[in-house]
Amino acid sequence: MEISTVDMKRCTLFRLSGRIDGSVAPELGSQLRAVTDAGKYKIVVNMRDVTYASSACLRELIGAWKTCRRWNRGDLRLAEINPNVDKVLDLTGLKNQFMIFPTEAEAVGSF
Amino acid sequence: MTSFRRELHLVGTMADLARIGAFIEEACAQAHIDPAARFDLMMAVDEACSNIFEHAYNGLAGEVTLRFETRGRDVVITVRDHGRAFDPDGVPPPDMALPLEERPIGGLGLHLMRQLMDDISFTFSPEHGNILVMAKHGVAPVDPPTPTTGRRRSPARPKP
Repeated sequence: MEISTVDMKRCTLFRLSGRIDGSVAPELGSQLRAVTDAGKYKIVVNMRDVTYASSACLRELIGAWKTCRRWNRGDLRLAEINPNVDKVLDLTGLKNQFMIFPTEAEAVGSF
Repeated sequence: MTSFRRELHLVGTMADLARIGAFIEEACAQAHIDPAARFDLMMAVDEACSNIFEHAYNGLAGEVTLRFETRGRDVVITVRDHGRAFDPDGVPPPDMALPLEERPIGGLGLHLMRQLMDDISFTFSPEHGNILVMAKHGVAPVDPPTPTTGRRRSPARPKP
């Protein structure tokens, strides 16, 4: 797994890549918490290059999503999900919970 | 009839999940499993082993044995561990009707395993530990490769 973050005017952009299983998902969680702990609650996660996202990855995304949305202060939105991630979100009933955008630009522009 | 079988035995942790995933992918390729089913098999095993390392072994290194086999056109995967007994009834399925804000975060892994596989069973005995058997139907080729050479057999098949 690789994570790069970009502080943008409207939000913080996470670009994830590689395999996100139970061994590395906690690192994703801690990087997301570092952003929300800094008072930034508008996050876009670009998942284009994620080859595999396990339930551990979903748990971290859900945790950050809940933190961001508390008191309507922000949101965590997904962009460019590939078919495997799409399937996992669908099977877990999360596809209609997260806001998902086909492009990173649209997700960033939604804030 | 078992036509193809591979085993992986390891004493591992979460850090070995990628290796386990590679084992399943390799077995799928060798057994010529339907490409559309390979992701499901890999993910079901990843979730199972993730639960074992996290809950059965509580984050410590533990012994896991994986068996990947074809039985006719079915793939059957058996996962054994000697960690704490697992009771699937103790993990309620996630309530999809609830808004995400109100949903407990846990239970997704087991839910995914049930969604991705056709049959799934858990047994525990003090002697043999936890045994998880998962099956996916109709994804192995009619005429599988032999276990030793990986070459396809070409038996004379009676015509129906």
